[in-house]
Amino acid sequence: MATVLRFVGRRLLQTVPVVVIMSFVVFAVTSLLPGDAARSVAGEGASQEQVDRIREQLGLDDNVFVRYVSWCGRLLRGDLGTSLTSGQSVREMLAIAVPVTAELALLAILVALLIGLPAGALTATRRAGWIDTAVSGLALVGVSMPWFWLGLLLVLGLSLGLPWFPASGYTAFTTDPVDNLTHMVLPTLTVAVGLLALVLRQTRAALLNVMSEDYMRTATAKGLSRGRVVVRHGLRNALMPVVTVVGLQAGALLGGAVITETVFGLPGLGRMLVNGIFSRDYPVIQGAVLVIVLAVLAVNVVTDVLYAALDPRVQL
Amino acid sequence: MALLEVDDLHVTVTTEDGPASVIDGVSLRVDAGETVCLVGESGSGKSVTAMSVLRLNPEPAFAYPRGAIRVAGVDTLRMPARQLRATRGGTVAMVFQDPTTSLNPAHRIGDQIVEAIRAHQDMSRADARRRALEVLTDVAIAEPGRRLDQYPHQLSGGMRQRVLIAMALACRPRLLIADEPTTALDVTTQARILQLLRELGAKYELALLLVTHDLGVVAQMADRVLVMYAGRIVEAAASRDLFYDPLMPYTDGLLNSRPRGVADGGGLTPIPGAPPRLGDWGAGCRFAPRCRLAEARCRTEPPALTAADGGHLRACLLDVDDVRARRLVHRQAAAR
Repeated sequence: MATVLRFVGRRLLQTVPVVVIMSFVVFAVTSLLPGDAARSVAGEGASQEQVDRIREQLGLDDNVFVRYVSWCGRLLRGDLGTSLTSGQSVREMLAIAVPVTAELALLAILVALLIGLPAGALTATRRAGWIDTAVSGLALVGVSMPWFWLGLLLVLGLSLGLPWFPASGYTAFTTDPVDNLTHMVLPTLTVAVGLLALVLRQTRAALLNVMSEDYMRTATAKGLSRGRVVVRHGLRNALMPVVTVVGLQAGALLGGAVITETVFGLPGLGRMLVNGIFSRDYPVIQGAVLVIVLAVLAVNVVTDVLYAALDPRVQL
Repeated sequence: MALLEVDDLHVTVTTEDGPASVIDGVSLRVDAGETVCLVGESGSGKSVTAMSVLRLNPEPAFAYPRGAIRVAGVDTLRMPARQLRATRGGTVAMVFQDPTTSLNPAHRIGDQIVEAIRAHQDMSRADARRRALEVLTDVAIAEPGRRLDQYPHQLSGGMRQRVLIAMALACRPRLLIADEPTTALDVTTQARILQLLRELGAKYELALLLVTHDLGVVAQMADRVLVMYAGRIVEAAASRDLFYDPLMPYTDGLLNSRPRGVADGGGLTPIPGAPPRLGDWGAGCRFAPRCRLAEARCRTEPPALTAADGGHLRACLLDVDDVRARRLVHRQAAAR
């Protein structure tokens, strides 16, 4: 346990430069966005003088480096600034949005693993049978399908067609768990399908590789049942590439969340980011992107710890 | 009753051109407590034969269209799955060629042995762990207690082979099948593992079916020897008879291709040519194309495995005394 903590500490230190660089890139890119924040804050009919005054108030006249350094200074005190449009503190906005996206991502990963792993194992052990052909075909469709389109299909089918699940809206889990989960079904499916298909294909390929390993024959020769050989000896060793895929997909998953949250009207990080971009709300964009960067980095550290947990030959 | 009785075994493997025969009518028996060696070149079918006993050849690529393999009288080829599992690791255990890849890298040594024990015996984890420690001690591994909690990659190749032998013996099988158990090990480790197998064979009252291409191993271990060529048994004899009086030209060729006496300036005499391709065996004796004694009829008439001298069986059309005489002449010529 101590080695794990030491490893995590070391890895977190290593991420500091990445965070600094990323935060500057984010800051610079948002500053380069076409359009004028001052004008969008001032409103359609504002005069040039009003716009100039607002620009000065917001400090937008300063050089980008000056603004970056002062933003960093406030960041270190935990101040992410306030939204230019709503005047709400970005930290408060994140406190509402992050749990929504985190729930969506975790549920999607959970669904993808709970279905993808057993289905992958099933297709690998029934290689070239009709189950394998059917499931692998479906998985190919799942990998290829664009997220927004799948989301729309699900809304059409399971919300408008058969009124099983609500098409939009959100209730916090802490307020009403059942209502929360019914609202999360369609968005979760939308995000999960692509990941599930990837997990399934990766599990199948990895397990097929492992099946011909000598230790699988040893396990069979010991007199173990087929199921035990496949799960305890096969799947256990096939998990590594699956973890890699899920880890690598973490970024894409958050990207998918942006679209999915927009389709289903979830008040998450993705929608916060999209709204921020549309209204040139720099502090909001910067805050949201910073959180996404941190999340992806955190997933990387978790992936490395999982490697070590899965394979005793990996040293942390 | 024989402990293991293979009767007219036929094995096929699926290729692009349909099923090809790899084992073509092999019969053999191993009695309780004896050591039988199965020798031959790569591709002769010795490993496939050994794997067939516990049906470890990957199915459905491999199939068993004819024959029977009786373990204590019951045919493993027609056993229900549950009984086959009880036989695997129970009555018959196996040790494989490459100890570095035959243990699961993700599980501790102790857990892998405990798993083998609990697959066959209704035993608590703690009791199974005690038994695991006991067999690890039996295979004379250094610090057996510490090994229980180690992972395979922390052990040397020789130690891993000891672990695999311990795992095989954990449920006190009556027959141990060892498929090239020392081929992947260095020479000194080889000698120690063979010594260990001999000692454990006596201690556990084991019958041993040893698959090898190494005639040195055969000389050290075997009570009886079976020589395989191209999916068939071509000669079977007591170890001593086979080494001193090989009655099939292929066996003689194998003996001559050993690096014996190379250090004193004697050369190797390899068998010319290569074994036939899978299933491409022709009508007559399968060794005929490479045999220096072959006659015209050898290429058309398949020889049966018949008794030449007491228990000495061979599959060769040539006259026994003729083979003996020409072997002597050939050896003298080679010595000069």
